Amino acid sequence: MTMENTKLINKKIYKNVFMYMGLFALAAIWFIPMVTVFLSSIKSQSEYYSSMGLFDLPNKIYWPNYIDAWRIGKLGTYMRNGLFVSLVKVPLGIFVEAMAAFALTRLPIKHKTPIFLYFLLGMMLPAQVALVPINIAFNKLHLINTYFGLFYVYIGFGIGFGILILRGFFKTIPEELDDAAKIDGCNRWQLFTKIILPISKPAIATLFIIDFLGTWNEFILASVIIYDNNMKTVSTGLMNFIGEYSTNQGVLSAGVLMSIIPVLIVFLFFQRYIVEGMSGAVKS
Amino acid sequence: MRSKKIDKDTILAFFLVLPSILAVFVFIYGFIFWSVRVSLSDWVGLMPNYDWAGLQNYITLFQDPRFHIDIRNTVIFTVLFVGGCLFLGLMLAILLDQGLRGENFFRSLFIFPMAISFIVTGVVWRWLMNPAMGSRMSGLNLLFSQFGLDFLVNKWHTTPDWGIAAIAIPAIWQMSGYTMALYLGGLRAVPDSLREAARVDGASEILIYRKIVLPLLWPVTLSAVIILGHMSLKVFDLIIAVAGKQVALDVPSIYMWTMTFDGQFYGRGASVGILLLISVAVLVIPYLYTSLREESTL
Repeated sequence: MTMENTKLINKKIYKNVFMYMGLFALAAIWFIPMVTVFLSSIKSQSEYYSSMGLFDLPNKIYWPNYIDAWRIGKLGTYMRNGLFVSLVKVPLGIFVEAMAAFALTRLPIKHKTPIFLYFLLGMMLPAQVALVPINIAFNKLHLINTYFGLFYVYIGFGIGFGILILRGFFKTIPEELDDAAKIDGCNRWQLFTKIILPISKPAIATLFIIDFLGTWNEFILASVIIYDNNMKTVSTGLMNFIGEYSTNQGVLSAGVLMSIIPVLIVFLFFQRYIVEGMSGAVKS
Repeated sequence: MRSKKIDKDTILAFFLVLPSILAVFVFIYGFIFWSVRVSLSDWVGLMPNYDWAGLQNYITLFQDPRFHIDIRNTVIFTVLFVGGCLFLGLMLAILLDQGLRGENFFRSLFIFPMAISFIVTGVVWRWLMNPAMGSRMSGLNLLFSQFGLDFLVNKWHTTPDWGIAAIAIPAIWQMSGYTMALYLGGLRAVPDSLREAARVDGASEILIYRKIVLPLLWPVTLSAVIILGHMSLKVFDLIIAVAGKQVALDVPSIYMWTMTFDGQFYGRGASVGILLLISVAVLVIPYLYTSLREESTL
């Protein structure tokens, strides 16, 4: 019997060792891109050309790449712009979406399903379809090179997803709460701002994070609306950066790494929300 | 008294949905109609021209050899990208579902690339996949040759005819972690009692996965195919960041961009956009329809 047991345990150990090896190999592959970018970000240009190997360490760590990327490469400007656009657009968008989702789940309104479908179908639109109309209309309305132009389009494109997530969550809040609030003298608007919104913090957090990442990373719409180099956000700014620094891998790498710092922070703290939110959207 | 109260709530409801309805009406449906109209016009150049051209733009499009390259590239990219993500995603999910230590760390590591932009991924991989040969060799090619794996050295996205396949590699790196997360959710939902029962009956682990677990994961696979498939139809940023706008790596989005903004062929650019919309709709609408029907029967 003990023989049998050790055999079984041995088998399990082998299996685990095998699986850890697979896992570590895959993890290494996943890590390589980021590690190599970091290594080239701390090499001076001359050293970069003398040590081209992926894992060649620099003889002397060269930090000025980061300063150059921030100042001369304007990454500081791009990140400030990106933060401004994201921090205005995301809360504003969520508020508009929450109002609609509240009406669709809590208020007497006709044709709820068709209205919901109207929003849902709007989610499908590839940004490419909007490029020609944006170019025509925004030139006429002088919205090119304005953040207002960017906010309008971003909010319009985000509404479908936002309503989908928030409506799904609002539906899980028991109706008894509405009656209790009514007895306490709340009107419908107060029910929304004082009760439903605070209860929905998890859903709002999820939406906030997904929307923040999406806005921070957005490229195609921003590149037809913002041409002015001083107004560009992170993705369009980085493309500019690639054009100017394509031969200076050190500065380019430093810039790329700095541009993902906010993403990294958001991801590390709120990873759970991202995955849940994305799969929640898939399920509903 | 009572009807007056209902009226007040209805008015409130109206004003609460109105901003969303208007925004979607203008920026989604309005833009779609406008795009359709431009795609049926003769508009070339900076001056607006809405002269009716019927389907001429679409016909020209399908006669353009460059658009044939686009379709071929999109098919190759989609097959490799979706297939690669599903395969790797499932493998990773099964590995992580074994209750090994450090599961959280590995999960975060694999998911992280999905949080960064395609532009960043492109910049990182354009350096790893540097196609330069000989003394200027760098990136992965240099690594391969240092380890004596010279047969792996290749021209990446500059490979004739198959360059687009190289673009699928960073795309897979970026999205297979997300696919893993979807599968992991599916695996966790498989009741343990089912696996236990099979084990008691003497089924091997591999058999349990093949006969019990994988069939239960079918809905997850379907969602993943829809999400990844519609991303690959729209792929744009990644290619631009890795290789710029090259005809060999052309896809409909890039074609649309060069037609409209570099060539001022507004009519034809708009028609590419509409074709993209139709292909996304064909992919998504049946899926939405079935999930909505499920929701209403629940």
